[in-house]
Amino acid sequence: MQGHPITILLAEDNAAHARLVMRSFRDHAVENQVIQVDNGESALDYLFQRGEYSEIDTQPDLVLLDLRLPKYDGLQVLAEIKKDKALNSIPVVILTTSDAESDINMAYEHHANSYLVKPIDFVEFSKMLKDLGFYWLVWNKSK
Amino acid sequence: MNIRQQKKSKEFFDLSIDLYCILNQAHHLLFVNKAFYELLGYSEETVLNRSLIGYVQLADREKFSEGLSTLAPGDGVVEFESRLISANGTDRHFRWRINIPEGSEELYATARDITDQKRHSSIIEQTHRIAKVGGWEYNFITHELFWTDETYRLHDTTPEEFTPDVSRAIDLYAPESVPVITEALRAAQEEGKDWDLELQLITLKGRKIWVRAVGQVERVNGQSIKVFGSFQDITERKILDEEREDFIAALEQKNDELERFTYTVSHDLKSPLVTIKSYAGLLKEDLKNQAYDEVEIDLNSIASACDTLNALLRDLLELSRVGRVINPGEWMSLRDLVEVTSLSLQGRIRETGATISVAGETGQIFGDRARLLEVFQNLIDNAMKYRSDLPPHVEISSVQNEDNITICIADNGKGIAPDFHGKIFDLFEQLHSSDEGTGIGLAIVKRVVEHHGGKIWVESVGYNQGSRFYIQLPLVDRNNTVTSTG
Repeated sequence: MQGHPITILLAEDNAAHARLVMRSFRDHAVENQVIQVDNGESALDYLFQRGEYSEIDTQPDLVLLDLRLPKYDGLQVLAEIKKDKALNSIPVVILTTSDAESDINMAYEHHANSYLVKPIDFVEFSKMLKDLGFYWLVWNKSK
Repeated sequence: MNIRQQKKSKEFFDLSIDLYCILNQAHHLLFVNKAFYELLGYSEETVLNRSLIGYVQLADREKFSEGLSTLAPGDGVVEFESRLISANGTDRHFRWRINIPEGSEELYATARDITDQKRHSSIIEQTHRIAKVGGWEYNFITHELFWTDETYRLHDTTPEEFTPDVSRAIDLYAPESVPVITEALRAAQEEGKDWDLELQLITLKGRKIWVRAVGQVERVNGQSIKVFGSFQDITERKILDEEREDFIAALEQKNDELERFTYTVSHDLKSPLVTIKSYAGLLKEDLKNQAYDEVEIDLNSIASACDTLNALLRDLLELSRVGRVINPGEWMSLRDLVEVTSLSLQGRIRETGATISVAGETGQIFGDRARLLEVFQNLIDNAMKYRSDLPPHVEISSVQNEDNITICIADNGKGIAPDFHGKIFDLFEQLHSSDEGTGIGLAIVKRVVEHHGGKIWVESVGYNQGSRFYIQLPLVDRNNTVTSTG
């Protein structure tokens, strides 16, 4: 399967988990540019091209968003993206350890495009991100 | 009267349920009817030629003699009430009518037994007083307003002190209740509507009480003639209601807190587990591929996730101890507390080159020393951890009034944007992801302060502007402990 690489904004405050995501993409040869931010404020700064990201002039093709983030949490970031006309078409995938029904419902209520629970096992984790990578590659190609 | 006439009269008098007696001037009984024996239980022989005064209840004797002393032959009837002692020692109430007929030297007396009537009205009055229920009646035609004794009492007044009319009575309601009762009165008069309302009233002594006012309208030919009803003090119930509602709200809040707590705890404990298990898998792969650079990272990740888990468990345990384990309170000087805290933070102070100072006169604080130390350790350690580019400086000062002491812990560090001022005290909320902490520290601090009956808040203009944490602690109840102002 072929596609041109996409840019992913990864908002994840846990460095070990961020590395897991990167590793999974690398292992499956999913070529992406991944920009990692470790808190909700930075994620919003990147998307709205302000603060330390004021020089940025492109939007990511996909946002991978943890729910529990310092400063602004994932739901707040999600809500800001979805209520902005220029940003609301960017697919947002929630990637979190929480499988609480309330979190899942809240995420979809805020128009998350997908909700993924971090599996505890690396093989599964890796497979999930492989699928995710391919899915969005195809999605991106068909655009 | 001849004997036959006398006998006839006696049979006639014996029919009466009222007492009939004839007394001489010394108030000795010359004649009594059957009711006297029946109601009081004495025999004829014991009664005749004895003084009636002897049968009068001690407390009433003066009133009784006074009543008799006003009598003069042919001067009409004297009426009064008094009690007689019956043979079994109990009192009975009588309403007396006595006169001395024209040209006679003897006193003619009749007495109606009003014991049951008295008991009945006294029971009603007592129960009304106990239940704090008053009665009232308002006449729409004559505009007369009648209050029972208890209604006066509920208004903290007496019939002697206060004459109620309808506008004065309405004025006694609290401002927010005046329109309600005014409308109820209008609807009663114009539409014949009854009412049952809970209203607030300010008594003539200025007490604010809750009353239940019930009004029932009496109508004749479609016209409201009068309204009457009850008036009950329900202040105690209202207070209990309010207390119960507060209690339920507090419980609900606790319950919500607990739910959030369980949720966040399970989530935050799961995160390091994901790291450990995943990196164990990754490790296997890296060993197979002989990617030894990666192996070290994998192992470090696992070790650090274990440390995180350990710190989480330790802090959670500590959090649950606050409020569960209570050491006896003691007075300590703020300066002393800061010095001990500084000693325990020697490592970080050396590492960051921080200075910690206590400004001006500092007061004494009262509380659980070990827990308060924890508060200062957390706050001062945070001030050094979240430093700006400047060497950390922490200054502790305090102001004190009669009731409490407000301690300020000011630093020159990173500062906290106003958006996050409320959030930082919540469990697992962290502002910095490079954080070695667990997100529990400030939750512990807040909990300790609240357990001391105090408050904590933060002021900070924003990034690199430093933070000022304020802790307000009460200077405990003077009845229990001596307030120290040292």
